[in-house]
Amino acid sequence: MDADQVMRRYAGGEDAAFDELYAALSPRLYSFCVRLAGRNGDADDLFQDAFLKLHRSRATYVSGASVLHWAFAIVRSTHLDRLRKRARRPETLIASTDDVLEAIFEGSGSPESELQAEALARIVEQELQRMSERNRSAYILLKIEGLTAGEAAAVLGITGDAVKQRAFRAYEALRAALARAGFQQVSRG
Amino acid sequence: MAETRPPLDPLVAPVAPPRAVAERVRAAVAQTPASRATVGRRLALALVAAPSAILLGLLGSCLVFRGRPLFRVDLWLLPEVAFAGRLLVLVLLAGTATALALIPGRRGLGVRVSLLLIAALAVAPLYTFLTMFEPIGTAVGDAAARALHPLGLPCALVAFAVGMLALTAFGLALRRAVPSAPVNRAAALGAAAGGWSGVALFLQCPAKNTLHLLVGHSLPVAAFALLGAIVLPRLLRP
Repeated sequence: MDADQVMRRYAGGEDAAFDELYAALSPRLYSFCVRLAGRNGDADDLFQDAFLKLHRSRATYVSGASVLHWAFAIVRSTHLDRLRKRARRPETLIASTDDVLEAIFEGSGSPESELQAEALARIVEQELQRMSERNRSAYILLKIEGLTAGEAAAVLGITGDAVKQRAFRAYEALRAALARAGFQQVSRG
Repeated sequence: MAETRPPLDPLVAPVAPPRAVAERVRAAVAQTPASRATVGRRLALALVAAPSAILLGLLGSCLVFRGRPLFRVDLWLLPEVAFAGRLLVLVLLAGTATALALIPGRRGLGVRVSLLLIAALAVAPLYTFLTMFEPIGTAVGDAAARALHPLGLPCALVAFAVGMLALTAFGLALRRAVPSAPVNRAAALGAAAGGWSGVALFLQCPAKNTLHLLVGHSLPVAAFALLGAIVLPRLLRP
């Protein structure tokens, strides 16, 4: 069933719809949390906090709106809250997101291509964690989650142009990191 | 023209959360009560809030400042069309800011951030222009205004009371309902509350003195956008 319809039932007070909603939303939201928060432990806590907030404010979901975009906004808001709380403690570079990467690349092709893809993804993951939260969230929503600039702007609470600018800065940083690591850009066509 | 979706990065695929995390989420959700206040109910509260805040604020001012009338003393002597027109524009100004700040928009995440910024920044200057440019009055009102505080400090207190009542109601209406751009939304809500406090002053105070209008009327209206941006975001975030 469509996640928006499930959310409508859940927002209307139907507690039994939770499992369906969780099944529909959790893979995309958890991946978003991992990419935003980086470290696995942080991502787990962020995911839990965000889902709890989604539950707590479920009656404020507007029927007809995309529940995924609304949930992305809640995750991002929760992430910013957590960053604010530990603002005095500088964020260290990610340790690893091994479990996630392994899950992504499990059985995705030959061992060689798997290794290369894993190395590539690891660089992308590390560079994402190195850049500013603003650029990272814009890039994730636009390039990884596939939102349009307008949708990402609504989630992030900025203008569409600002989303494009931030995503472009992130893209340039990623491109430079991959070039440093010896990955060549292949032109198509 | 419809927006085009960018191609997805082929290297990324959604990953299900670990089973332990799923269990933790289920347990936490089961123990946490959820709000039952629907969007419709919240908007209804906000709609009732503005006129109620004006009425309560004006009634309160009569009790606190003895001798202060509920409405301006020359209310029935004012040129009807000019007064009604000016009042309508002020109500429209506050109402538009309120609508922009409150409506969830088609994505459920509020209106565009540029519109929120316009609402937050435009109310005070427009209010100042509308009340100071050829102010409406009568000889009776002018005589009463001479007895008022030159800086309009009692007026500022009335504006503060009305604005705080409206701001509190708006904040409760959007409590935990703004995951995106909470500061901009809060500033717009503050500006709207300031706009309603300005309407209250227009209904009660006959002053035409520039200093009185600036300090006693316009300054509180402007201050509310700032107050909203500082105080409300924490309440609005989910």
